[in-house]
Amino acid sequence: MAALASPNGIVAFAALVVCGCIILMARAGWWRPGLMLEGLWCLALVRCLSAYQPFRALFSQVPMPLRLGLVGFGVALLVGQFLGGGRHVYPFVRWAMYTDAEHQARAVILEATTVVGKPVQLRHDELFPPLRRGRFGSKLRYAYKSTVRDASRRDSTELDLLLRAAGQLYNRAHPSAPIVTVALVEYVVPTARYWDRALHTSRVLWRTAM
Amino acid sequence: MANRNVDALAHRSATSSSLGLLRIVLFSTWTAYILADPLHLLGYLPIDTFSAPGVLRVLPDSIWHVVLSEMGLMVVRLLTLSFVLLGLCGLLPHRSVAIGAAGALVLYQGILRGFAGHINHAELLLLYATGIVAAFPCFDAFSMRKATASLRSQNIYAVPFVVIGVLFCITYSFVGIVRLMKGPDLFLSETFRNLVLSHWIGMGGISGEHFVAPSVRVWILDAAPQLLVKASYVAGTVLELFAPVALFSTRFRYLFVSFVPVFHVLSAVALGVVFFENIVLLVVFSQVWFHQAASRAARAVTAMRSLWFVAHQTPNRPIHPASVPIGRRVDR
Repeated sequence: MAALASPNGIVAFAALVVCGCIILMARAGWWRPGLMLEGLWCLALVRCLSAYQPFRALFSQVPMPLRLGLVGFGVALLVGQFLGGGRHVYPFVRWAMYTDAEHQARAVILEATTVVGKPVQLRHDELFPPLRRGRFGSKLRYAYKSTVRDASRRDSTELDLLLRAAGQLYNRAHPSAPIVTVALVEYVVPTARYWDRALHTSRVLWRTAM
Repeated sequence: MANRNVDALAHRSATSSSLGLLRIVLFSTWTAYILADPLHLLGYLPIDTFSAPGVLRVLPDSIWHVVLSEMGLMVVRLLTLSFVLLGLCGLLPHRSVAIGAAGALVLYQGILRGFAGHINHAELLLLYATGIVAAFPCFDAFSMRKATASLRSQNIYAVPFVVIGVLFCITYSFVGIVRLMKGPDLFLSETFRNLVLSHWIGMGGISGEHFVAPSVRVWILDAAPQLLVKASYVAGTVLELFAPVALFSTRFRYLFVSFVPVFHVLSAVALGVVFFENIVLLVVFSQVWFHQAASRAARAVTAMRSLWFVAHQTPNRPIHPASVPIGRRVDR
């Protein structure tokens, strides 16, 4: 028990957890070399923290049930970081914000047409404030990908449901000028000349009637 | 003697009042968040578009059919708010209330993420911090509990501060290492400008035939030398990577604590990513002043309680001097 609580014991235990996660990731086909270096960095952090005498002295005074709880929390944090994107291990997630290169400025937006033919832009963050723009935007993108991938589900797709829900919520707030169609449109803007509207390209990815 | 061990983050003066005040800070943040967040609007989204994340998968589908209605979501919101307010005010000073609040918040945040495409990180650090504070005796001060603090070691009140500090730094370091491992393309390409523009388009920058120029963001896109923007991205990432050094070095802690608010304000302006919770959590790096403020607040609360007690003990009818035995002092 004393050996396990030593800095080396703690690092060995953390290494087991990290390696286990990396093996699971490799089996799922998500392995990449950077993951090993991430693991090594993480173990170096664990080593520094576990060997720091003030921390050790402080935690030695924590009651055992709480100490075990904190160890469990640390393990969950490692599992969250090394086992995928967080969908399966919530509330522990992979901390990796803005870590992918973006070579184009692009975004999907909802464009609707009212009963009198007037175009309206539906703002995600105004329709569903708790989801903010990013969460609902990524939901739309994922739903679009899934729809394109699985052509057999085109009669009743998740994307149709989402677009109709957005339209219904808009119509509830604007009963005098309801919308009749909602489209998911992708805009691509050239980075160097973003102000030139003529160079912007748009593509309707999906359209749903209300 | 024992408190010398808490030098790590200069929390040697942490007391029950410090932890009580930290509880109030965290639960106040959640209260503001829940009040401003119309969760019930998600009841308009079809249940088929919901996928329960992580631990919430243990709940059966029948429960989700009830919870994800407009009324069900309103109940979840009110229930969470009740727990959080009870924890904030300390009216039911029991650990189960704080743990219940943390559990309700896991459900609340899980519902948001169940309707989202990707699992994002906003609020999660605050959620972890709430769970950690809930596990420790956070009701020993600023609550209706009778004084039990003297029975505990003072160090127990410093532990949550240190754990949250470690957690804070580690999560930033995780982001830093993942970014560096993705290769130089991330920093050499136009990624940052593209992210700023993508955000702007999503916020309605393009409307019909018009393109509304992104006001403040123009500076990032055009006015600032691109080398400076890219260098800042690299410097920010390196600072994130070495965030845990703030746990050991006071000088680096000052640098890191100054960097975090600037970083998050810039992210909010440029990318619309608001992590105000993380700025709130910087109190765990406050060293001595937070504990001093907590002690002063605790003394003020004690004084107010005494006044209230005296005021309610004083009879409405004035005491007739003749009814008081000779030699006994009457406090009025």
